[in-house]
Amino acid sequence: MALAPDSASQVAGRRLARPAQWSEVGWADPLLWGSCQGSGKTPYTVAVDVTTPTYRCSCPSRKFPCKHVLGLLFLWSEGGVDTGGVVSDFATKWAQRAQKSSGTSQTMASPHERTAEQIAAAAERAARRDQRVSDGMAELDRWLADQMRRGLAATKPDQARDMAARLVDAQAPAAATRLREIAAMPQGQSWLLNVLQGFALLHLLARAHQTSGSGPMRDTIRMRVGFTTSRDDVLATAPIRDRWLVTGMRDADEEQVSVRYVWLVGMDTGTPAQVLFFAPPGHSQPTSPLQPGQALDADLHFYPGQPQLRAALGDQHAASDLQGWEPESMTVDQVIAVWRHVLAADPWLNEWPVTLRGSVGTSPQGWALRDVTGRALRLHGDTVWPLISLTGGDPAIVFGEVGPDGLHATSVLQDGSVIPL
Amino acid sequence: MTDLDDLAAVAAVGTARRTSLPPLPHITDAVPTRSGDLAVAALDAAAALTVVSRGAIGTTAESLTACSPETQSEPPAEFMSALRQVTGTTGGGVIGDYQTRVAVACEALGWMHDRDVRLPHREIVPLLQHPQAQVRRAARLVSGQRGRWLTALPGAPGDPPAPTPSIEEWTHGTSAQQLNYLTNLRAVDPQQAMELVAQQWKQSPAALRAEITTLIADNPQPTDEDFLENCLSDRAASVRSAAPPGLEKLPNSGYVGRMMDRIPALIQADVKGRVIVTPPAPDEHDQLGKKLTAQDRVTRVVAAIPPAGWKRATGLTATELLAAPGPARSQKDPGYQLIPGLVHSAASHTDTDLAVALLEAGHIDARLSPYIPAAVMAGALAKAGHKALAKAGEWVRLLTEHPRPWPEEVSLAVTRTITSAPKLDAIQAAVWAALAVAASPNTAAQCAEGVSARLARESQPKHGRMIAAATATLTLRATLWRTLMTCQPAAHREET
Repeated sequence: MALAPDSASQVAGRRLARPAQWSEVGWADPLLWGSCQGSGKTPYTVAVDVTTPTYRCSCPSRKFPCKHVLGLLFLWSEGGVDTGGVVSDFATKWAQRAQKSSGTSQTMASPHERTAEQIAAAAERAARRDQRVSDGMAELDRWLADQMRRGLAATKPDQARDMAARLVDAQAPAAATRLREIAAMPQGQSWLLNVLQGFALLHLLARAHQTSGSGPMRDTIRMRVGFTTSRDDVLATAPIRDRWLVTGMRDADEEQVSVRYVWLVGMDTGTPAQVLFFAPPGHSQPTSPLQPGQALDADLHFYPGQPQLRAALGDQHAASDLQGWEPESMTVDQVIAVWRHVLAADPWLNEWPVTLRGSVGTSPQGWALRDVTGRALRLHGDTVWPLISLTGGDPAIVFGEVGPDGLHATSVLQDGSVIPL
Repeated sequence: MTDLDDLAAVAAVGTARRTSLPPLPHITDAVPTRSGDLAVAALDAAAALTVVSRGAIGTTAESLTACSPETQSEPPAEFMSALRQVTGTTGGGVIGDYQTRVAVACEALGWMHDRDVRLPHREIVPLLQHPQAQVRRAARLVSGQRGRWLTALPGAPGDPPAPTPSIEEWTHGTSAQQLNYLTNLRAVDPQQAMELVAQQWKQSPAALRAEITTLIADNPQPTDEDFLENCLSDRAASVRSAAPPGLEKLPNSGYVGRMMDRIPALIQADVKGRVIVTPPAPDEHDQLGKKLTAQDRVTRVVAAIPPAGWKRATGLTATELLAAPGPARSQKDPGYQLIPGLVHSAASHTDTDLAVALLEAGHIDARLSPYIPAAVMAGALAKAGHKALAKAGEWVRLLTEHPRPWPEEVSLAVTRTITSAPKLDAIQAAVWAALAVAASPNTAAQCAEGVSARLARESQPKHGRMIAAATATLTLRATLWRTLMTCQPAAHREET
């Protein structure tokens, strides 16, 4: 934000901070590069050295930095640029010229061949980022306390959005997104309670970030704040190989991206997993390689954090089938116990995949899935009626996501096939 | 109120003026509430309570009575795959036009009903939630035991069945409710229906009286004659004009008798055997008032005569009368036409012979189409040729309004006529649209092949897309029909 020559550039840069605008993007410390599609035929090429920072863009704008540079920097600061990628010719030549003119004789190292100096510089940048994030989260916590003192009824959405913008500057994009979601909550009967709970969980995150040391909780907290792990790093970890059954799929339009959530369960290990696919906002997802009911022998590599859930699809070995497979289904009390257990590891979790056997029934809160003991989970979402229609009141194996609102059913196992709802 | 509600009440106004938080018995031991920064303490307490509440998701529930087993089978998978192309609410598939997709979907669901097969359970809810009411209605009829069970549950998707109208709707309802009640009652007890009408006739407003008269005139019984006859003297013009269409449908009514009495003066033969038509004198009671033109009075009298009555009155059948020559006419003296009245009479009395005679004499009228045998219509179209389908005239209207699906002969005749045109672009768009959805399912594939072959011989017609769309619709309908006909419902009945 501080780099922007004026507020118009800031706004324009913000608009370009979307993955859909960029191609051939990459980041190899300290070089950041990408191509941005403008109104002309040829995309504008952008290169930035984040140390100084210095930058170069092929667009004809007379503003420095231009909106393309700002857009790329915003995108990078929000974790939208993965480490690696093929360094564009434009960026390489520019960096070499810059080094020559600065009198250094270092040659550009590839992203995976760094000198000790570069490693140290990277560590220093990481430490600076950690400090920026810590400062940002501390400021968030103070802001939250201020809202509690003044009264939530006096909190204006603009104030929350301003605080969210400062969190983006502090490179804590996930926390910023959550705060913007709270600011956008519709007024109504539950508004006060929802805002209080939202602020309370952000306060918990801020405090956890201050006090977390090393270990699995630290990874979870960093993920919730907005630190990302590159897919390449995840794929470099040891996978879990299993016959993975796709039990559900859901598309959601989020702020700057459309996300497809795909739920899987390991048919041999019972391990649950979630794989995400992304598309530009408002665009339909391309055909997913994972479809509900599909089973495949594959490697899943899990992202850091506890409980382990999000994964990246690695090597696929063969298609599989459900022949003779009996899933381990839980009772309602077992599902609740599992949910509470994972919630204890990640209090900000919104859903967890489960498999249970039950039949649809009626509860004081509406439709529910009950087991043989009469204990039940409230059903919610747009899959309730398809579930009722498919099961006809009879018991069935139901796959779904359990969360604070109850169970969102995603599919049913019937006649040896998984039928998506 | 829970602890969280209490905390929310505090949070609403703020902790600045407070010295302590309210008692929070469930978390007192874990979270201090009296010392330190109250705002932070409140956030700490809210966080703890929030996490706890997120974990409290269990409840109890009563079971549902399970659905009875199905007695009908499902259609073949290929049929369902084709049906999904027209029942989806998003774009795409081979048929781009939404209304066409709806029409094809309803047709296919109707075929399922005729074939006694039901929807697979996973298809029921999406179809009951379809944006188009006619699709929802059609789907409901083929949703089987599961659909009936489902739609009886509270809050179920789809349209609830219309409640049986009650007498309160007649006595206190709106005009629409009163008409609805009357329609239902006439179907089961026409006499009581007329008694109710008579009871409040005098005080009913003219608009309602006219609507009731129209309702009765649409499907009159002999016992309705007195009522309709009295309507001819009603104080409101709208009521008076609504009665004759009903009286015309009662061949033995006094009204028809009076019209028959006018025939000798209306139609005479001169010494050369030519038919001379003389308009009747104005008669306000029989709705032949002075405000009508002479031709209109001729038409009304002729329209009221049942085709079978002409022989008795004139010695000529209606068909012979149609063929009888008239005197030479000039622009100054065009004479009076019997044709408009004869067309109306053929349609209202569903007289096939007269309808065919009119068609063969070159009088094309869409009102006659339901009564013309398929072979006759096909022959007449072949004779008229492709030029008849190149202008927005009566042939196009006849085809677009003909009951669907068209008979096989008509479907093939239309296809042959179209493909005989030197340029496909010359054919009216309405004909392509009608062919696509109205061609008989048995011949749809043949029609599609004929059009495709013809299209291939023409280089880049201007309306190529529209023609290709019609072909795609025909092909899909043919697939739906063919795949459903392979299903043997009786062989797949599930054991109960």
